[in-house]
Amino acid sequence: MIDLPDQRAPDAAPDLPAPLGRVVATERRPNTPHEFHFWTALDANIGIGTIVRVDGSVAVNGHVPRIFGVVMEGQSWTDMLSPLDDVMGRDGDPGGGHQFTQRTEIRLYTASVLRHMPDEPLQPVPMGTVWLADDTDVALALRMDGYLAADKRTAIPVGLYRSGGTESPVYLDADFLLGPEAAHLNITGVSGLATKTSAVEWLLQSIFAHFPADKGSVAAVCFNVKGPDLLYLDQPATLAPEDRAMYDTLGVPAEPFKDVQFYAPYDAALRGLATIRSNEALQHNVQPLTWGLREVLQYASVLLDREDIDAKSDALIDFITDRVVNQKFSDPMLGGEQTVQTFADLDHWFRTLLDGLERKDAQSWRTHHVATIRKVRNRLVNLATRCAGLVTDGADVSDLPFGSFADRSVHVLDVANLEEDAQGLIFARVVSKLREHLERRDLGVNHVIVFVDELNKYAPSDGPETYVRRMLLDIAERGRYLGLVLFSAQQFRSQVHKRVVGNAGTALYGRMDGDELATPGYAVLSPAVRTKLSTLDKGQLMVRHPHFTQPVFVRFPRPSVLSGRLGVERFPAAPIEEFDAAMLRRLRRFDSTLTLDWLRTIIALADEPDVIRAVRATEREQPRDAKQYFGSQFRRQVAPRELGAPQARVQPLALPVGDDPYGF
Amino acid sequence: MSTTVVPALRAIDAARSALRAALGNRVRAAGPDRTEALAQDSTQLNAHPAVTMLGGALRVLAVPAPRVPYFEGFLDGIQRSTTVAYLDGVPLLHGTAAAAIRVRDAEGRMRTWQRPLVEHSVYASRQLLGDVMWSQVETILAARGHRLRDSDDSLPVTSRHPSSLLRQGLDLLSGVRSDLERQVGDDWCTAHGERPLYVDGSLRGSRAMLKSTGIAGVVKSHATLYVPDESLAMVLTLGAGQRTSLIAVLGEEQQPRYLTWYLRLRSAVGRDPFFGLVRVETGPREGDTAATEMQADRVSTGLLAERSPIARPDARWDVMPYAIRDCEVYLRATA
Repeated sequence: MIDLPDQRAPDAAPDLPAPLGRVVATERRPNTPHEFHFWTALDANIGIGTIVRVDGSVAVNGHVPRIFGVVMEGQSWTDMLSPLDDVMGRDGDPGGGHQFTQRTEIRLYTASVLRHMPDEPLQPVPMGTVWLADDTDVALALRMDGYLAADKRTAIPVGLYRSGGTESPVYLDADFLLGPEAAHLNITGVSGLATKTSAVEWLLQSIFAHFPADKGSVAAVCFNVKGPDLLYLDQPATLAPEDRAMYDTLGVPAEPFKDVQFYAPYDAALRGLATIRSNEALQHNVQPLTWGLREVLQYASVLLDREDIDAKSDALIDFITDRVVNQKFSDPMLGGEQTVQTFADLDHWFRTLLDGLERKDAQSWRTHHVATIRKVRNRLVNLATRCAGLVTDGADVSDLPFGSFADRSVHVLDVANLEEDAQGLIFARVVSKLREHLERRDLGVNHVIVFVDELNKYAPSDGPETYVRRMLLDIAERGRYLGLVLFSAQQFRSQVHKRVVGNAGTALYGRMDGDELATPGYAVLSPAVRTKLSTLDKGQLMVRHPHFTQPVFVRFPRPSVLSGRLGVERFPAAPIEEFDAAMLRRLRRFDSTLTLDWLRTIIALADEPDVIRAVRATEREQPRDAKQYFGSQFRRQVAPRELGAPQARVQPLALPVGDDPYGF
Repeated sequence: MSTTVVPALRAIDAARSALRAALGNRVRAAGPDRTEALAQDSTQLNAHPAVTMLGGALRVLAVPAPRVPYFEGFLDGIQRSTTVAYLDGVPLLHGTAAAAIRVRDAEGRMRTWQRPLVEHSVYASRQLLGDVMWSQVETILAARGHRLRDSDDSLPVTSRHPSSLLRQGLDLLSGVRSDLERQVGDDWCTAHGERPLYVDGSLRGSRAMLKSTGIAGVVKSHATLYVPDESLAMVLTLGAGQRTSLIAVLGEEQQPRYLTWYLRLRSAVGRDPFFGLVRVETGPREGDTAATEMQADRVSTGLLAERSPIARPDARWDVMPYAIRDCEVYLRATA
């Protein structure tokens, strides 16, 4: 074989990188201001998603144009005229006819323009040399230079762009991620690859590490709607060295969230919280989520069937909400003054009212027909049964710390084990409360990220209008002005309400399903990009962001928190226990010296509802002396009574009267 | 029309079948596709050169199957012409001639060896333009980087007919191309000595290339036949992978100027007799005939190794290796 000399230009400096390719254009395949074509050597380290730079050769207005693009399509072909030529060349034998000469082959790439420098005049991409983008080029190409500047830095790392030996951090603009310029983020990807949850966990870490102090404080409220995905955010993961290196490069500490609170309603039997995070070692930051009448009634419409509740019923519910609950209410029909604070009070109020109506044989009360009253009673009192565990009969309430949210805190609401009604109620109330407090600027933080997975279920593009979907639409369309930011995820973006995903300023795409990619929403992507999306690895994302004129592929590290699967293995859920053992476990959060014998002694004579009430009271008050406090709950109910000295009473003997031998 | 053509083709097939039944394999399908071209070539047939058969008589030899590539370089040239203008009816012909060698790299991809030689010139008849006009045109063209060549150097003016004058210019351009090819070939010999080089065309013009044992010139056209008429059938019926024994082409004083032989690269069954037939030239060798035949086998095997990939869409793909087409494409893209 003949040795060939180096074919680079003789004046090229030896330490400079070699050009990647050359721009080409033909009449049938011209370049435009937004797209260009270039060829490379066959062994060029380039692929779909690679960012390149084109250096023009002719100055325009005194500036030599420089264009940045991202590879969106690639083609290759040889000078073979027909496949039959190969058949002939190999005498019809696929394994025969060894060819010592390889046909001339081309690798032709099509790139979408990311940026022209200068921006004006906007011209078709000129012929020129193509180079692999370096760190500086990537920042310029993605227009990140505007928010990476030291004096106005609002950059949030989203991952690493890797191609051709270049490894550059890619940043999102906090002003366009958390508002006010744009906001919200949506993630799409098939289930089972941990992309969606992992990406959100990583991004929250990144936001907490990089959200600029002058933009205020930020917290996150995450709805855990399935499995144990979000239940171990405070537990560290074991990271591979390459993941740690990515954390270092991106400037995000590889550690779990420091301030996490978990909330879950009780299970239906009220023996424990309805969450997989029930391991005794993890109970220090798990709190019950229970609401009483006052908390629920405002959002009763979430639970009530709109077709069942007509205008008359609605009017009575409004009356009760405005005039009865949490205030002294008197009416001749009730026979006196009543204060309704709990579902039990409400039930008593209804019974008294209906008894009064019956006694007076009246058919209506304050224009409300007795049938309507019975119907509303049935529906409202039934709420506590339908959402048992979340809604209590009594007045004990355990809620999120609205008004005292801490900066960089995470609040996880585990609703995975709840019925749809209860999930809807929790979502509606929590989001409404967040919104109210943010409007009043008294939540405790300036920005709240609400993460909701399974948008296909909660905000579908079709199906009946639901309260939850209305709430999601409201956040998506108006939340950014308040600092209420929606991070949402789903498997099929095409089946989510268009206004929810459309209002997401930033969109992330993990590995996609082929059928989903065939829907019209992805038609703007080239076939090569769609193919790449369908084969993405774990930890790879395609990012769309207002500053990026084209999608960009990035890698992000494994989350630094324990995954749900490993969390369940390492911290198995507490087994289903006997009643007294379950109560003891709840009390031991406050005093680990408590024993089962002690508890059994205390509750020996009490009914289960009384015990539950006492445990809830202890959990609500979190007393310093839990043992004493819990015991006092029973002493109050069964007050000790001192007996006086027994008095001797002499009973006269009953003497038979007459012939009655028994004396009667 | 089809109603007349189809019966005609059937009649031809029937006739061929009848001939084959009577005469056996001596009858072969002609292949209709090159009939016109072969017939036209007959106007340019040349006389037999003086030759002698090494080993006594022409023989048919089987060429060993190729296992490794033989040739390391592939030399070809191109020429391109266009009429710039007519000056007082005299054509000014712009001609580009170029020559290059392409070599295979480790992956089997073709690369250019050194830099191609390229010449751009304008050809015109000095006799017809006159000295004054010639000087004037020469000055104007020189200012634009073009050389003016006198096409009378090629052939004397026999007619003022523009076609004749263009023919004259093209002949000179062809000579320039040959010169460039020879120059590149000589450079190869200087740089690489005996290393095998495939030359597209005859070696006759280069003394250096004729001296190198590794260099073979491959001629695709057969306007000149190098065998006597009585041996022609042997050449025309060579099977794929067969060659003739060596033929010495004699120069002055009846000394061998170069050696040549015929080689069938591809089966001509169903084709005309020239399909896949090339004539190979190498320089004369001293020593015994057996050693020379062995070298001819090596070259022939090397040529068979270049049958794939085929050089389509070039019409001469049956006799042209892909690497030579690659060289042509390269030169047309760059010259």
